[in-house]
Amino acid sequence: MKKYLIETDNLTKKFDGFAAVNSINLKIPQGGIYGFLGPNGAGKSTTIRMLLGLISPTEGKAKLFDKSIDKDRLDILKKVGSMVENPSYYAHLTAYENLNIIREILNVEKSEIERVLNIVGLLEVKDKKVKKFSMGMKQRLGIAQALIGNPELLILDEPTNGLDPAGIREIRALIKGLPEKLGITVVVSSHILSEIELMATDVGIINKGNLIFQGSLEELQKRSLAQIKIGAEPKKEAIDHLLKRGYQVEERDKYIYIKEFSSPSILTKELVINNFEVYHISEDKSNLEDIFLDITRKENQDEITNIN
Amino acid sequence: MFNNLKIEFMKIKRSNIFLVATFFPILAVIQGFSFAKNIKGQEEIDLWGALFSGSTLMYGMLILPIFITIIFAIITRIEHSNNGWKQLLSLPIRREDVYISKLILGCIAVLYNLVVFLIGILISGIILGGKGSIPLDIIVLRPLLAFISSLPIIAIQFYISFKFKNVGVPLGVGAIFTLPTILIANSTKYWIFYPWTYPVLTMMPNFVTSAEQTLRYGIMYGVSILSFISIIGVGLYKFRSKDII
Repeated sequence: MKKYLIETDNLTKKFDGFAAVNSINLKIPQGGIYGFLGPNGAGKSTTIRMLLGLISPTEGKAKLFDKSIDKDRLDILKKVGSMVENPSYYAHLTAYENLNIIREILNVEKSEIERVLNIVGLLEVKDKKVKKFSMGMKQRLGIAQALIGNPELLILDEPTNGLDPAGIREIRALIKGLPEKLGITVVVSSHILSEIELMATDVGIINKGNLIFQGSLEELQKRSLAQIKIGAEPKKEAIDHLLKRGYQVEERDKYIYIKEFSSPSILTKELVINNFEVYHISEDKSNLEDIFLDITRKENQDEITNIN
Repeated sequence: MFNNLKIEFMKIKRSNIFLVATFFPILAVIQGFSFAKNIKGQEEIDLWGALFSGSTLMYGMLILPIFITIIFAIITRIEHSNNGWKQLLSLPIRREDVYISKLILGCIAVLYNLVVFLIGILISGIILGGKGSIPLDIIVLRPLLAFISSLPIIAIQFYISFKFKNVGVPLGVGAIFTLPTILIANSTKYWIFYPWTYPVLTMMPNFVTSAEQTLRYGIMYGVSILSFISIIGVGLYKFRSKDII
């Protein structure tokens, strides 16, 4: 059986009756990077807070390292580094002093401070007050705070928020190297699919509090293959023709979409030879929103079939 | 616990808490000093008494309660601003330890404030050349007793400062409840219902005039300790299960 570092059982959080997180069953394997994907307000942060014991679930359980977070919180948190939403810091203290406070709580070597400052590239500004830091530097400090004490599990909530493109690339490279170099399992949340695609080995997608997809990145990519978008006249006949040819056709706002992989040139030829007027053809890589729509639509269809 | 307290001290570095704690009582001592100096020429004057009551009035009624208000607002603001709570509480640290060590830090600052006050009085008295032996039972003992009678204010301000993210709430509450003290402290009947009067009445040595008042002082210490324990207890209970959003 596969070993899961984090497992939740119908984890639910309701705020005044509204389910911000609705009965989700996370299965996060050890030794990889788990991308936790969802639009803003989908319940990512609430879930992460429950995993860390910051908020208590209305229903369900969360287990980390095979221990329950509400019973063995301290034992679990000794092995977890985290950054939840915006980085937290004591602005009137220097970067070094901020890290020293965490080091003291974790009771680890003083050399840890320099080590993590070096990893995030803040060693040179360690004696600068954090209130004078730029947004990107604060973000790095947040990651350094999470890395101190060499945790077995790292939970980073939107770690590239507010960084410039170069910074994003750096942090991404840093995160990608962690499982191999240090054996750390990483959970990273984001609302940007491409971000997750570039880092994660496994993916969980949450929308409106529901976990609508969970699996490896390949499984997700299979569901989000590029599609061909065609504008052709007369449309109805064109669709009939393509269907006859065995294509999977979908019609959405004036355009025809071909789902499975096919070559745009072959499709154009197919239509033009048969006297259709092709005024648009493009390859559409689905973005996160499309995948959401796609997955939720399928879910809804499943529901309908089940009712029937 | 000692380690947690050390961590709290690391956090208040450069926050000027102890500068404020030094400066505030000195203001009161200066007032008492000038009061005692003005009447020094007159005969049959109890210089120590004049110095002490001259300083105590402003100190007990205004400076101490306001200091308590400010100190707990600063201590909790350190976490309230910049999302400190979620960072701190996702580390392997007990919530009750965080709560208690912040309370102890604040109490240390209040005690330090009282000690600066009493040392200031002693130095002023020696400078003014107070005759006879120094009345230590008043100058040393009263401020220390005032710590006990400040416990309700400490508990209330701590509770409010912990609960409200906006620093204006504890500061506003502290100011609003401190100001009417002078009126209520003058009432021999009703002061007991108003904890903000406790510190000044503890320190004013001539207030105890009747057996009834002596009894009331006894009740005051009892109320102080019990209300402190219950308010702190409720606050801790709530904080332990609070959702950190």
